[in-house]
Amino acid sequence: MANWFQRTFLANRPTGSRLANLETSFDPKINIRKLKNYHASVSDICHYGFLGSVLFFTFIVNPAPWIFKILFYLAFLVLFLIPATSQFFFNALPVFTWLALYFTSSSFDATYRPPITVKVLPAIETILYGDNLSDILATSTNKPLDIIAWLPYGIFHFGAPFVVAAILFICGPPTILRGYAFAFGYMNLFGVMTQNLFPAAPPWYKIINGLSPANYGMHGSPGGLGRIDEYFGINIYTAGFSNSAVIFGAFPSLHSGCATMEALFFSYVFPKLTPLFVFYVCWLWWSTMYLTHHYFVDLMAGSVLSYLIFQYTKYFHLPLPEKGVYSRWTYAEIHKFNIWQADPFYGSRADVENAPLSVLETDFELNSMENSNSNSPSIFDESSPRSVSRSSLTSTDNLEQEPPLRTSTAKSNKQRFD
Amino acid sequence: MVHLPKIALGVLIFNKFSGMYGILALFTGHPLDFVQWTFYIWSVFCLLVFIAGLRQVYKPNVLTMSAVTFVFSMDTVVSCIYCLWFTAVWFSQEGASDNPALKSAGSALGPAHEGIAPRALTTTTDTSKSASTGYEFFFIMLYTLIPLAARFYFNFIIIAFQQQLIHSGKYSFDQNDVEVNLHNRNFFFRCKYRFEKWCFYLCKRYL
Repeated sequence: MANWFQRTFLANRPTGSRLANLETSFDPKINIRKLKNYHASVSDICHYGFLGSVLFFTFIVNPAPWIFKILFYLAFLVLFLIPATSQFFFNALPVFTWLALYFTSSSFDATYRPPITVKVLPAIETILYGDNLSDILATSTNKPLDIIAWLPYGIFHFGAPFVVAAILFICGPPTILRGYAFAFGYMNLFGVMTQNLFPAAPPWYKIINGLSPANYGMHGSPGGLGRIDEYFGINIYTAGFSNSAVIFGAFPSLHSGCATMEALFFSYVFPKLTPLFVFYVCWLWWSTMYLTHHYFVDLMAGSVLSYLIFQYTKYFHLPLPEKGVYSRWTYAEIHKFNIWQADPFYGSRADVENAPLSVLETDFELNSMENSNSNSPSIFDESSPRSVSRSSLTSTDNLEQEPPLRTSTAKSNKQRFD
Repeated sequence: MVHLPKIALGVLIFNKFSGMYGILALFTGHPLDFVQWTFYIWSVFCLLVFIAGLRQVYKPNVLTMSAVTFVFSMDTVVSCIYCLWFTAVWFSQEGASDNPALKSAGSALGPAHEGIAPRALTTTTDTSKSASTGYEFFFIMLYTLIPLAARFYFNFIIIAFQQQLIHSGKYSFDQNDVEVNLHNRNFFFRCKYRFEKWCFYLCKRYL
């Protein structure tokens, strides 16, 4: 096993590189010293200010005894101060904030909650997508389809975030895990906030109660997962969904959001396997509608939320994976996405290929080239310092004067850790 | 900024998957009318075109992006028409009955499940926290208009991107090179190429 790991992941490790190393110290003084020297940027203030506000809110609202709440927060404070644990726990702060809000959601007083809508989602579904797609897919059910639907919705969904995190940590570039925790946490956090601010009934509600009014005294339903409980003689899904923290949280679908986020990150690191990840998302979408847990519009809201947050994270936080490199220990330095140079129209104005065609078509006069001071192109006057060729060969020369295509954020051998 | 067209295409691609699930009605036996069938088939066509566009967004091909721009713009118009039609369908159904009959009511959960869960659902009569008709109507309108507004905004982004592409000397195409290669291509590729070329000249003329 050790030999296999050595051969697969450590064989191409750059000599002396400590980029992929983890922090192993348990001395809190290291982190306290870092904290003293830390200068927060505006984005950091927004980030920690927002998460801190949500955590403070959950601390006040959560009905657990104060002593437990204080001990719980102190335990996290200790984990944040110890370098060996803080490298994981502190970067996962958006995830913990989401979990804190989610598990506090069930205790919100109904008098302060917004009214529950039962018609909005089926109406939007019909208006935007022609029909209730959940109805279409759940019209006929049978045992094999139940099992196929149950696998992604009732099994994979709960384990996938951990599996994806582990694989990204090992196979992705260093620091990608903190980007994943950021994107995954924020997506879920915004999702739960929306579910609380806009409570809406899922398809199973319409099937059982029609479009009659709902209230917060109602219990949830496992939808089609109730059949799985019957097949296996268990009560997991019926009990779980009946007492869900957000019963009327159909919009947006966090099942869809999580699956999309996982697929986007995997496609980012393993682009050749993108069709497989797209298939997984489509499978999960089908199962959520088949099991009557979500309308298609919920799935879209979750996936679009994931997509937007992933794009933001990619542009501003994620390290670039190197082509054909599937081990964090192979990286000698970390590059980040350059949003300007990824633009196909990016380039110096001096580069003729970037000039508008209308200009080129009108300023080109062959006779004027000999005495002109302009940058009119010529293939005959190589010695002239003013000449600029239209060929693509010389256009790349201009790029050499531009900033590098990738933005390096770390020097070789500098210690970095997830 | 190339990132906005990428986001626009990505969001539209997600939405166009609805066509795929609508067509599954073939296998589930759910009844669909003619308008719904055309809507789902059109969605699948758009899905294929937009995926082709998204794959090239960082290294665009002016022909493919012309087709994407054309289909995107057509889809904006077509979606508005479908949207009006389906809005009329929904409200006419809702107006016919306060509690409209569902095409597949109860079938998804099955009789066994309905025996397990509904005890709490059917015993509550408190409607103080249920949305009023006006509240529901407001959100139906809001959630219909926001995607439509976003769609128009995305359409302008795609058009601006295509305009920049056409007027940039960096991404012009050599017609003769492609024409020569066409002889060795199959029927579908030739149709695709003719369609893209037609879209290109249309875009060049009006953008």
